[in-house]
Amino acid sequence: MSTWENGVTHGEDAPSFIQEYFARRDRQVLVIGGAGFDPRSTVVTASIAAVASQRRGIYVREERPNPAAELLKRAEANVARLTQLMPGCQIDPIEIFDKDDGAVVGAKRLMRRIAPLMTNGGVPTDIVLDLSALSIGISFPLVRYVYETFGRNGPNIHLFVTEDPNLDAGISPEHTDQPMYVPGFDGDAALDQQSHATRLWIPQLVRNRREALRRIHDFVHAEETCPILPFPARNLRSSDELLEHYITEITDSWEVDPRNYIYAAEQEPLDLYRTLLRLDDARKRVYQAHGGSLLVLSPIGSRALALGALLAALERNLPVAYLESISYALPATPPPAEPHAWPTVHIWLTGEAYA
Amino acid sequence: MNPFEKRATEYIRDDVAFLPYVTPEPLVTYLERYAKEDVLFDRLVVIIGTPGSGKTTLARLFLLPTLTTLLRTPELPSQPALIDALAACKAITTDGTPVPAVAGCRIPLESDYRDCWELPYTEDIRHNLFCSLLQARTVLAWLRGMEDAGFSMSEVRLIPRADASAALEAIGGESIERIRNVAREIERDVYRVTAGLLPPPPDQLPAGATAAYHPFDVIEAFEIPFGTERLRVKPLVICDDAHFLHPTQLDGVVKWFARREVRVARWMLTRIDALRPHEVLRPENGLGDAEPGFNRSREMALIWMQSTGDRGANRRAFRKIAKDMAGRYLQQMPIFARRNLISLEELLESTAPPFPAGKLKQLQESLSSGPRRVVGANRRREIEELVDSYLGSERRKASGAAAPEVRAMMIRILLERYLKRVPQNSLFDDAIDIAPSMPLRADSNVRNAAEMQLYHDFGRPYFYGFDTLCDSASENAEKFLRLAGHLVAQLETQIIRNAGVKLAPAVQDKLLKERAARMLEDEDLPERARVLRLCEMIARECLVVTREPNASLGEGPNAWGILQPEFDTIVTRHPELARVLQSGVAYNMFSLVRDYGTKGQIWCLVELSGVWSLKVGLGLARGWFLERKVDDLLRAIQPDAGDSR
Repeated sequence: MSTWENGVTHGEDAPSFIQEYFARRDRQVLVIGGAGFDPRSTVVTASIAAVASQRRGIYVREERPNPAAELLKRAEANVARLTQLMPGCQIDPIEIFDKDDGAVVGAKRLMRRIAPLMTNGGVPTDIVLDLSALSIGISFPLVRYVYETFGRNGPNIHLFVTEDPNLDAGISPEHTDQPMYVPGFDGDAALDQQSHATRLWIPQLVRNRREALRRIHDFVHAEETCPILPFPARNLRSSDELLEHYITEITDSWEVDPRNYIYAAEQEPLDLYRTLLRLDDARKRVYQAHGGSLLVLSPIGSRALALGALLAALERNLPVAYLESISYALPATPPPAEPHAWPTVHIWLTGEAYA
Repeated sequence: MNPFEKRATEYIRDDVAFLPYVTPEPLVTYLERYAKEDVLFDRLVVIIGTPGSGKTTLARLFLLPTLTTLLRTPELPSQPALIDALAACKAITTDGTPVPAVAGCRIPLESDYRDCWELPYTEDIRHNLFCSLLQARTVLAWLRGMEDAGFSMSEVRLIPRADASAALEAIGGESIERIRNVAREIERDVYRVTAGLLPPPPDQLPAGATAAYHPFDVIEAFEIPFGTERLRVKPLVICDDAHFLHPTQLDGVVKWFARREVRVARWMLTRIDALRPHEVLRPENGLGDAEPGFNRSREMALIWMQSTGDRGANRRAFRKIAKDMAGRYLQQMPIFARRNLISLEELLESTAPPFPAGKLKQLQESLSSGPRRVVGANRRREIEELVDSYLGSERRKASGAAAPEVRAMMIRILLERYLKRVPQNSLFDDAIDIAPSMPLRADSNVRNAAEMQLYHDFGRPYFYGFDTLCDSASENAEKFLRLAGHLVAQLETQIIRNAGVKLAPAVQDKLLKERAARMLEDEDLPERARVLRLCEMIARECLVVTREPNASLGEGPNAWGILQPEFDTIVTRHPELARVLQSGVAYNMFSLVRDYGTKGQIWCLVELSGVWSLKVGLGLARGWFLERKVDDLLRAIQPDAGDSR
């Protein structure tokens, strides 16, 4: 059976889980999250800070070249709020791109810096990874590092995302031009032993990423493509809208058979996780005698769905291909700073729930 | 399936399906000269081009499986032309039965190579890790290529350099199976170091990561069975996407590859991004030139796959490539192939459509309205005679250039020019008939300007015909395919619906504008926002001048011109601007025309790409520009207040 087949998750009841669980006196909580412009930076921290008595925080401030003044202002406001919620927290600024040549270097440099900080003052009982305001180039390696370092018989590890597909679709990233595998998630795809494996590319579709997806597709060099469409979703027409948006790519470039769409519940990461594992199992059987099968994931859309992809990639060592963002632009009228209407998703990655 | 939209050569894996799409023209245009000088497989060759210029497609032709597929598939219609071109490049030997002379493999220098530079070790260790990983993967790719080409590994023999027995042993000796195993071990061990989230301390590096491993210095050739003979093929490594390496790392690789001890043929394909800003802004310089003791012309060959010299010659060369490419793509589309419609040039109507009578009347009335009404009858007659005399030649009549609307617009432009060249000091509508300060001329500039003004003022199509399509692509194969793809999709629909096999100028014009807008919207490049701001500013100001009634700059400018000495200060004084310009040039948003002499001075033109001209409605000719200063460039890249891009 797969590790998180019956994983412990919370959706609508995540706030009450936080209130009950983290209020326990024996909880020593380390929150690791993002301290950027994203209005969701403070949502989970605020909920935990309201109930947890022994808590500390490490917040990663992803720095990209030439940020817009408005984004800086928002990031500063979020940092101030986080410092207020987690007195003494550590704000760790990290340059995502090398200053000399613009190469993507943030994740590995961050790991070297953050690793010793995590156990400063002892190993906590609970490590909370709030991925809501971290890019996947940082959040995925962070989860892998924490999972592999503390996973067995260690502290409880919780993943949280505050989800808003509309905001994610509204944020316009400017991408770097080099697709790559997320650090720690290469799945040995570049090794000679995988050279004859039949590749299936599984991109998660989100509007206005045509060029980014085209480049990732070129990079992955997959024989087949199965795009992920959100269904059920809050906007029930979003699958149709995405299909219409990407019609040229789907029919002419990727040649997707209409039977090959993957529908995944937008707010239920384990749904996608289970689907990916089933797909991987089925293809392994079929392609065993023909060089093997390799699923390559590109979770660039909804964050809750990205969690599902993350779990599958962790469990099966699947490669995750993406394009790092050089900068972001917010929609003209961004949502308020801490909207309680946004759903938070929780996954209990390892710990006493599985003992 | 529309192969134009799919960028077929990128996606088709099977060589038999790939080869019909490939035109041999770029081989002849870019490589043949170097093959004649015997440098292609003898020293380091660096091929530089913008994204989509066709570097990777070109490289694929030199891979061993592609070469053998070509030679073994006589039913391919393109086989003779491709074999001739590859023979001219000395990749195929044609003494007797044609056989491959090189065994190429392509190694994309993806992020794991750049990751070597990021490791917390000394520069020597990092360079050695890079070299080991690259060599191990190259050896594996050569062997894989031979298998894919159908050669039995038991019959392949490695020919080592005569004096390299110790190094030969380190790569696995002469046994192909051992060579493969050693390469796999080296790849795995180095990869464990580079791909890990936390690297091991230097004294705990795995054995394969520190072993002496130099196959490039050892391997002289491979011997393979081909038909009834045994062939010696020269191994060729094609390092693609070299621009992703760190600049210092790239310098190290260039120096390594330039060494004569390296026995294998080696190419590096790179985008302009690999160069430093000063090298982009001064392309006659280049990789490694500044190094003492490094003579570029002797140690390496630098091949540019984009225009660096005579615009006319470049455009003619590209039209030839584009025509051949389009023909090959159309042949792969059953709807066109069945009807033998394989010349895109013939499918795109290139004669101007009839001008509506109502619009012509409106235009003719405008000759005597507004400020133009004061031009005296004699002067007006002289201007008409000038225009008629110019348009009177049989050649112009035959080409449709003498159409009544063109004549009327030329007259209107000359009337406006006349009014600019005479004093205007009367308060009343007295007729002006005095001689202008400078004589008026009716020539091709005025005619082109008339066509542009008809486009903007009366909606007469301007962007149509095959040559315009090619010129709009700015000599970039991918851009050509994307623009052409939209036209071909419409043609396909027309043919299916029996609505004719030619695309009308108005439809071409509309579709090209649509596609250009979408291409610019989709364009994803470093410094995107600032590059776009600069392009938009140039476009906006050029458009204003293009639409001046007297067409002071002919069909209109499409560039800003900065005095060359002032432009040359950008790299040192304005590094941010230099990066923006580099990105814009690298992604074909504009090109830099250096040392452009006019008006007694030397200029550097920042010339918008054809796609921008299509989107905004600017001319495609070179030479018309607005005089600007570096400060204007700096102002253009500043964000406007409230700009959230």
